[in-house]
Amino acid sequence: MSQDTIVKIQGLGKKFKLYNNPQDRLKEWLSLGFKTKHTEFWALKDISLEVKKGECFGIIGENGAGKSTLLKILTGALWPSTGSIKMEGRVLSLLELGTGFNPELTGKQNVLSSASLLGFPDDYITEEKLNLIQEFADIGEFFDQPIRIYSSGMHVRLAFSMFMFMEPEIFIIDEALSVGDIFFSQKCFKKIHELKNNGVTFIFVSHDLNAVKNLSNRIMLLNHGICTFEGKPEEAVARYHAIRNEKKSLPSKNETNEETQFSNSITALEEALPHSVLNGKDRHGNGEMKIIAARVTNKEGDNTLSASMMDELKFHLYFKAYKKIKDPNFGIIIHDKLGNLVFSCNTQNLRASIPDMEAEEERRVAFNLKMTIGPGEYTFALVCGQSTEDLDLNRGITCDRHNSLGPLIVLFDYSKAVPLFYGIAQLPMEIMDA
Amino acid sequence: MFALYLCSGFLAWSAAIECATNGANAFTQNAIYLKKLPIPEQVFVAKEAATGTYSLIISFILLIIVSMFFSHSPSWVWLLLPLPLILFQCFSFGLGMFLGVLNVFFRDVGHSLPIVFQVWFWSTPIVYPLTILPDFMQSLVVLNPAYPFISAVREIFLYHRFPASDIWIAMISWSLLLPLVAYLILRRLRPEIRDCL
Repeated sequence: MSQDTIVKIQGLGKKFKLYNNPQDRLKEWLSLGFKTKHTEFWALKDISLEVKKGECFGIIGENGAGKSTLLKILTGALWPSTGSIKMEGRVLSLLELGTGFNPELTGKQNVLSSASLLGFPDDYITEEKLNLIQEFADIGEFFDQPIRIYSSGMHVRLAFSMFMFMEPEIFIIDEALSVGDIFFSQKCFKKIHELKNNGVTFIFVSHDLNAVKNLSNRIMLLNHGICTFEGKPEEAVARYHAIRNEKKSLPSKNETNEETQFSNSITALEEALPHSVLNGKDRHGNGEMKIIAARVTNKEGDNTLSASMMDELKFHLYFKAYKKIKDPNFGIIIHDKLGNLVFSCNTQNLRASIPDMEAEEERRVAFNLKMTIGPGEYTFALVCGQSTEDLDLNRGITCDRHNSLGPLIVLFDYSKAVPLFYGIAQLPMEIMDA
Repeated sequence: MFALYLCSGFLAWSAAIECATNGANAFTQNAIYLKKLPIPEQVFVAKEAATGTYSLIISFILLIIVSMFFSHSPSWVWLLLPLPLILFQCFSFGLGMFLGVLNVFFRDVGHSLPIVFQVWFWSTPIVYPLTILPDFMQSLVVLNPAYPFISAVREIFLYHRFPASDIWIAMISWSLLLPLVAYLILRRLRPEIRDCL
């Protein structure tokens, strides 16, 4: 183990035994190892990694990829089936956030008691430290009240603040960064950066790719318990999306026929199909015209679904008409995490007229969208339609609509600068008198 | 005199059984800690044994005070009284740990314990003297691990006698053997316990 390596994992694997019912386990025990009644499930396989002192190591992967199992093994809450772990120094894990809290004790007493539960010596929390924790948690007089009367936000803030001042050598964080309001999480990020500069090592897992990417020096990508990539954060995030989209773009059988029959008249389509963001899961329309493939690229022309705030994304739609379509219309609809409509616009809204489509005609439309929306995860829908004969311009016929595509991720690094705006979206704002 | 006979046996028995029952549920009840913290499992069983022993000591002090009113005379032999009681608690600590491990994998164990313990209670001479049992059952009582502890408590407390050496041997071997075996089983199954909680 070299001087500055603080965590070293070699060939780590975790096997879970799955039994159909508890009796099977008993039968297996009684047979003294002659019968096996369980099926094996490997949550992690052959994971090796080294983390250096002061480094920030991120772990990302889809649900069920084995991230939490890995963190639990690192904390010592689960035992590995194969391989070895070496850690130097005190490890503190946010998995333990608030586990030792007793509702009858006050905030202050809880800080003291859970510190000793976590194995810190009794005199570790000094008066000075208590003041810092109280100040950071920002819960005022409630610090001296029993925590059963706390709101859930106060509860988490207290726990988080306490952890921030425990000064471990290795800090393990699991999905806990989405704590409190934006000001509190900014404060946490600032504190994490400060600790990082003081040489504290971080290992963390989060679905908040924005946070992981900002904080980590290195990211490991887990897929079904196997480490598929380890290295630069940007590349890891890109590969993560690649895995997700790979899964989603697997076309159903009917679709495959349709798509292979599609003539190669548009050369770019061949290129676009493997990167198509369509998933065909939530789709409706009369089918007179269909969106066959769609891809999203950034300024550099790379396929991606994430963009920094204020950057442009280009949406390419490949579609085919099965009937003559008069005044075809194409649009995009963006919803936020909570399902609020953030933005919806189509070619008709933009007063653009697209030439009529003949039956069996294939064509491509692309539009640029500047992501002047707040950081976060969004889903989007792609629509093609046709305007109706009646006079109401706001109505139309939907030919094909793909819902719940994405997620589209808008990133912003809060720790580095002030964003250009706060909120859902940017409104044009000018300073007239200054 | 029967009141003292009953109480001395019953107090020791109920403390031990409480310790075993709570120990059997210790892992499942503390699953939130075991799933998140690297705390050694046996700590939770030991905690149950410690609280049980604490209340056992208090109830025996009360019993001694009450016995004065029954004009039961004190004796120097009473200084030996903590020994069988603590050995009995060690035995039930081991039993609790063993049952606790089983209970993680077979949750029915915890539920069926009250019935099993009830049968055990009535087959041990606690509310009745050993002599009323038929001969063949009297010879079987050697196999009952609870009997040496209870008879030792009675010898010391009621009759002011030093228990016979075979009783000491039985007590010491039970109270060493069971925790040891339970610990070996726990150590063997430790990784799986946390997976199953």
